[in-house]
Amino acid sequence: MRRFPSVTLHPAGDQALLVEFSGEVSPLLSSRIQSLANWFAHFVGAGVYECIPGFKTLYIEYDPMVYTFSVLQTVVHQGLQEAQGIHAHASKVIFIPVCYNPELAPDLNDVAKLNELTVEDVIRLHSQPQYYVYFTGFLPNFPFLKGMPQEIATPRLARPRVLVPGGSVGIAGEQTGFYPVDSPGGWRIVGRIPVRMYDRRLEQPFFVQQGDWLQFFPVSRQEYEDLQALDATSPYEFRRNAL
Amino acid sequence: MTLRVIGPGLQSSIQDLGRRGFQRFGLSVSGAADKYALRFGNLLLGNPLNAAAIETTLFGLELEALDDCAVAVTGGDLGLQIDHNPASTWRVLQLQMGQRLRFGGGPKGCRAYVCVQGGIDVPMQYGSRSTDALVGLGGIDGRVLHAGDVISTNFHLTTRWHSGPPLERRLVNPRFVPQYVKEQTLHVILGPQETAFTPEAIATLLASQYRVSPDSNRIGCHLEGPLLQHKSGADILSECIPEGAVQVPSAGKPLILLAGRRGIGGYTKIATVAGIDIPKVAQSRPGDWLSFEAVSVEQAQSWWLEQEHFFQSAEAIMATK
Repeated sequence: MRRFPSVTLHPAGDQALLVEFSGEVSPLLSSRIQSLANWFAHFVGAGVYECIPGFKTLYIEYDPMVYTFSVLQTVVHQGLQEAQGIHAHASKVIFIPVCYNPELAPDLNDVAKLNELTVEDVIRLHSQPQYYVYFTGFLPNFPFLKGMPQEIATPRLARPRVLVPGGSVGIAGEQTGFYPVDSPGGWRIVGRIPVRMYDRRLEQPFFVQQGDWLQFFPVSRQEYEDLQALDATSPYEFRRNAL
Repeated sequence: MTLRVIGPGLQSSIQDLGRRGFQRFGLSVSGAADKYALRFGNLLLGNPLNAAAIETTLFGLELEALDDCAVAVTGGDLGLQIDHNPASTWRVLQLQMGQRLRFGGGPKGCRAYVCVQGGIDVPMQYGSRSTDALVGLGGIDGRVLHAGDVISTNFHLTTRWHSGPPLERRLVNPRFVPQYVKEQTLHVILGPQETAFTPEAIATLLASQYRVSPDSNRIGCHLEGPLLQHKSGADILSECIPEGAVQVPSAGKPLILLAGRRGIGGYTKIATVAGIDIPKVAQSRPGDWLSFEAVSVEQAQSWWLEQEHFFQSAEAIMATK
């Protein structure tokens, strides 16, 4: 039988409870967190607004008119018992085009220099792995990923930029990811996605989900322009492989 | 019932009680920073308590009534005027066509809410009319207010107050109007990461006064004062951040997150402000002093329930014909 690792429950103010799981951050732990979130979605109705996963946590936002903190604690323990048979949702690999051209990637040369690599090495290392989506949040489709090669880890910029264009792909320490919309930010920008990563023309605009895997693939400057033009007329269809 | 924005003032935006249920998809909760004031404004006008209103900061907002309309301004005393004459807050005001409502700057509080009869009519997106300007949702075209914007209302939604005092005589009992003093004590529930701090840091937080910095906005209230030391590092794995979280980055200066925050962050949170005290943070202006007192989650929840029961019964009474 699958066992849940032990958990610690913390109040996060008077309207949220944070379930902290012990053990290493891993896709397995993440699917357990997702199982508990799914249990809440299926079996707990009014009184819980939303369950938001983190790398090692599940944040449960609730209405104290329905649950007090102590009652919700017993509900969480029940959920941990019963969620063991619940599967996380089916995941997929999403292939994302990235143009690693210094004109669109202002920090690409610095990332190479600071790591004593060539620009080609950085592109190869960055676009090689499939990255696991631990959770999303912060901005629509913003993925919290792990698994970037150590060789290209680079500290954040000392002074964040006031405006990073949407679609910019960045590195922050050992993390990688992208900005789905224009926003301020301090990540080192190493590439740009030619198509909208938050597209309100879509019926289901939140297409990057916990449990998915992302694979970046390099495209030329010309392909970047072409894809951008195509995306302007109709939403780009990402290649997706079911797992 | 229509208003035109003559001057947008500072950080003026359309907000309701917020967009819940989409944080895991990256949508911020948004909503009014001071939900107590917003709810009272809506209550006065017979609106649903989550009706959308204009939230404005400190001074500068100027609106013109394009036809006769009933409004209620709640929140801080930001020098409200109608056609350059001082006007009262926390009561219903009848604006005649062509009259101008303006915030000239006032002595107390930081944010005011211009509630209109029926609530502001902008499209509901993901369950809310609240503006999230970074993502471009809610409000007018997903942005803060600009001069020239025309704001119309959902007059048909006003279904309450069929009896009782006539609209123009309604006001909030002064007992329920907050004082917005320059020094406030906030009740906090320690955690969720209180164990990441030294015992001295927790003692310092609970024994010191912190001054509100001019960098503050509706995302967060930045504080100046004794620094808070972490045991070993200020960073945690990113996770969801509650409204009222007292976050402490490595420099040691606390920051209280408000309604405009993004939902995920990676800094340790030493404590979280009790729900009933979040409006005090939202109304503190640069230069004000805040101090902290720890309470149990049970205590904070019992205060919250008392307030919720109050709003529920007030709403029920006013809905009675």
